[in-house]
Amino acid sequence: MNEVKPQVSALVNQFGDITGIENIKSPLRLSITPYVSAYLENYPYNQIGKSNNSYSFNGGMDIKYGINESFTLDMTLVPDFGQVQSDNQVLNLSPFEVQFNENRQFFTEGTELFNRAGLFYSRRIGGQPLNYYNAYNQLNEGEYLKENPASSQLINATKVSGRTKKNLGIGIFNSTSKPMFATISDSLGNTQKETRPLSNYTYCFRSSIKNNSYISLINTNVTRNGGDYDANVTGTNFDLLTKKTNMPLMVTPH
Amino acid sequence: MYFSDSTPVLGYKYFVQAGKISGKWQFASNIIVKSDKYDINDLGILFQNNTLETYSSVSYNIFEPVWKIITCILI
Repeated sequence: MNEVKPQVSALVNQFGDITGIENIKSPLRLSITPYVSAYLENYPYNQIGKSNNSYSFNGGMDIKYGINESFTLDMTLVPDFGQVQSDNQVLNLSPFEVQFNENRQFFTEGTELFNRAGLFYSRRIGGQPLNYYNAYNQLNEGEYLKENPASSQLINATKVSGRTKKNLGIGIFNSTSKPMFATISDSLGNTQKETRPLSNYTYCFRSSIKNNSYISLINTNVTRNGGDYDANVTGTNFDLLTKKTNMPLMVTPH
Repeated sequence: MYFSDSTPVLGYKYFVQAGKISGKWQFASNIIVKSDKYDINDLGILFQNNTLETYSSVSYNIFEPVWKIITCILI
């Protein structure tokens, strides 16, 4: 057993190493979970021309595949998050937006690589459409907002993540969401396009070098179809510790 | 953020920290700068940009047990 010195920073870097474990065969790591769901909702609108019942029928698939000993592929096609715990209602009187917890399993499992550097807030994916408020603000006289979806439907989400023997961690994430539409009514009903297909891409690379130091590179990108803007964020983190693990220099430019 | 047909809006953030993280005397100091155009809210979350923060700390650590106190950190 190693002695844990209280005068040295951190705990895990003082653990001992386990060596000599070899020739362990792993089984095929593959899991496919198709799903079909049907919803019937009844809400007493009691309006003429509007049904109190609404229904939807969904189908999709989750795939988890172990590519090799280091990397795992996770994919979800047309995910249904209908069973995910809903957010608490927050009365927000501050000028800042409310940050909600991530409750969708796909975005909480194995995402520690993506959450480095604080550039990734997974609730943006499938979140509020970009022009959600514009639908209200750009109403003309005699028009009213019939429907304005507050979240977007995902078409797919894919993540590949893992760490090699040489301590190189790589994570790639990609997701596409459907265009969403607000329905605006006047004397003739019409539709307005809301958000475009979103392509969200996160790339994260992290490599351990000597003395628990590391360097990482992160890139996030949002590409929107049509006239809306795209966004890109690039960041790097490095943490340099001296041989005695006592003089760190941390630099995090984004 | 950028539109395909115009010049991009560029912003930056950096965070630098240096210090001594072991031994009896420890110190650290850091600086966080977010520029006025720094906006990561398309895939990240940021409440406020256009800020400059600095922070420094010094501590004296006693690792030998004194009476019933096992470790003592004076900040």
